[in-house]
Amino acid sequence: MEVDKGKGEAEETRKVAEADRDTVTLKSSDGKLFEVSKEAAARLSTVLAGMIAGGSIDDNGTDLKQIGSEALENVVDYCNKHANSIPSAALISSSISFNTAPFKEPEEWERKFVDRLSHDALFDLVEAANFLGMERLLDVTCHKISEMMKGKSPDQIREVFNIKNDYTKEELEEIRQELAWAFYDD
Amino acid sequence: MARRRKPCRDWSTGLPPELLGLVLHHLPCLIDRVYFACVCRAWRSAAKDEAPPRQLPWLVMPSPGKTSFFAQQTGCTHHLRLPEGIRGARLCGSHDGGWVAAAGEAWGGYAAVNIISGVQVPLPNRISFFHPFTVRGNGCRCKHPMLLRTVTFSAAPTSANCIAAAHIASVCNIAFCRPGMDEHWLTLSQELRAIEDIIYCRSLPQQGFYALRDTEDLVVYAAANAVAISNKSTPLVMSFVHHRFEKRVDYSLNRPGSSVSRYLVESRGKLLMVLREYSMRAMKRCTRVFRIFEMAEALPHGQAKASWVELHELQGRALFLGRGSSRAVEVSQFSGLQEGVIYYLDDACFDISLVVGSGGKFSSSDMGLYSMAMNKRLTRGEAGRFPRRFASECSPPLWLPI
Repeated sequence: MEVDKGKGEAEETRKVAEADRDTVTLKSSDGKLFEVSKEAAARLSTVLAGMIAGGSIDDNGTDLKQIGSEALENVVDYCNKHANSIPSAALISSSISFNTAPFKEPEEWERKFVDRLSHDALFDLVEAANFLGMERLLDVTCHKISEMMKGKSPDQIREVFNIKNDYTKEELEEIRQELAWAFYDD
Repeated sequence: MARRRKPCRDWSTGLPPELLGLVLHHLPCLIDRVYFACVCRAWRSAAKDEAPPRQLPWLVMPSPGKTSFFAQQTGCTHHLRLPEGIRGARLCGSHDGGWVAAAGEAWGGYAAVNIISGVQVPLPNRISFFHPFTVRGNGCRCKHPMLLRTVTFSAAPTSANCIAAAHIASVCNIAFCRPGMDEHWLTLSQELRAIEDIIYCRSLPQQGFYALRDTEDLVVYAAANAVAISNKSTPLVMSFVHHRFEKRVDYSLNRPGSSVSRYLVESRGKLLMVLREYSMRAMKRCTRVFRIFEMAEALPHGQAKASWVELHELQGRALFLGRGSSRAVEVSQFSGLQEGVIYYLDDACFDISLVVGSGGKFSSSDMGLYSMAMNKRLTRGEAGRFPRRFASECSPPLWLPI
């Protein structure tokens, strides 16, 4: 009885503490824990905002089984950096209507943030941002990926992303005929 | 910088199509989209669902060897494979959808060619005009060679109601034809006043070809038999209306050592006249100032003349200036554009000796960006990667609307 009562009290205290805390704890697929500003998480991720509002945040670490520790670290890093940078109204509104409004260029720190990532880390981060409904991060990462393609030939793009050419010779010839203007031969 | 480790993730099929679609949204240039789709099947099928992006006019830099184009939206220069018939030709006009007018020779070989599809439509090489004095004493229609300066199209050259207007050097200076239909260019009465620019206006109350004279008056040409022009057996008849303008206060302002060139641009349902002042320095043109005027219709209370009203800013627009092919674009609809900027080429005057002389070299050095807000040419640093000079054996550069 004593134990149970104590447990109940502890549960109560924990819940109160959880509500008061200004960070949330996230747990990666491989069991690592990360703390992130609650305000930034709610502002930048529609999924986390929903979880916070719905009270489904676990103090011992909310399980994010789809996201590996490296990607989650980057997500958390991005949120915390975002919390520290002054959020401009324009930035927030552009991330909401990103499909119609012209893309707002990445800010200097966002550019640096994605520039230091390896190709694989970038891949994982795009997936994580997509899973967590982080539109601005998705925009910034997809912009970075597009930057890696601009001005490059299909061969060069395949080289950058280590993609196997799965077209047959005939199909490629057909494409080159159809889009002759875009293919220069000596 | 990204580490130079070979990626292990499956970039081809590992990303869901909606994420590939998002990446595509960040590729505003058509050629990047084409190359994206060529990478692998999965990327091609993701690209299929995306509407092609609106393009800013490409700056085509023709050369008998490798032709290239500069895309303002990305700041990248790409090779452009021209259809065989026009490699080494002089390009002297363009139209929406990748159309150019080409001159294969100095005095002929004229054609409208689509750079994207490769479709070619022949244009006549000679004008037909009425000669009032002949040996027999009565006038007759004569055929005469002509030199194409600039061609403007009213519609895609393959469409049945397309009319081409040519600014020419011959016994007159303006001529019309239906591409692929007429054997000769039609001329009207001998038009001898200097023409500065000819454009086709769609959104003005009076549709037609607007020709700007050096007096800053306009002549508007339209088909007199608009309904019948798609019928080959009906000859093309053009009618025209003169619009006289009240002289601007500083019209005759011709400062020593300074010349003026004028362009027409249609924008937001209005007609703009762009004034370009330049001087010659060591045989090279050097643009100093641009000024912009908007056509104001004649006032209702008895004033018969229209007038040019100066605009001091472009109000959210940018201009791509080129003889017969200028266009205004809304800056908010494109990435990579600077507001209030005029993108200009070295076409302030037409050098006939380059075209008729053999072995001439088309050399452009007076091209760049001009900011209306700052009232100055942008420096190399401010203008990004826009080409500052271009030289070719066959043709000056040209704006190509895609």
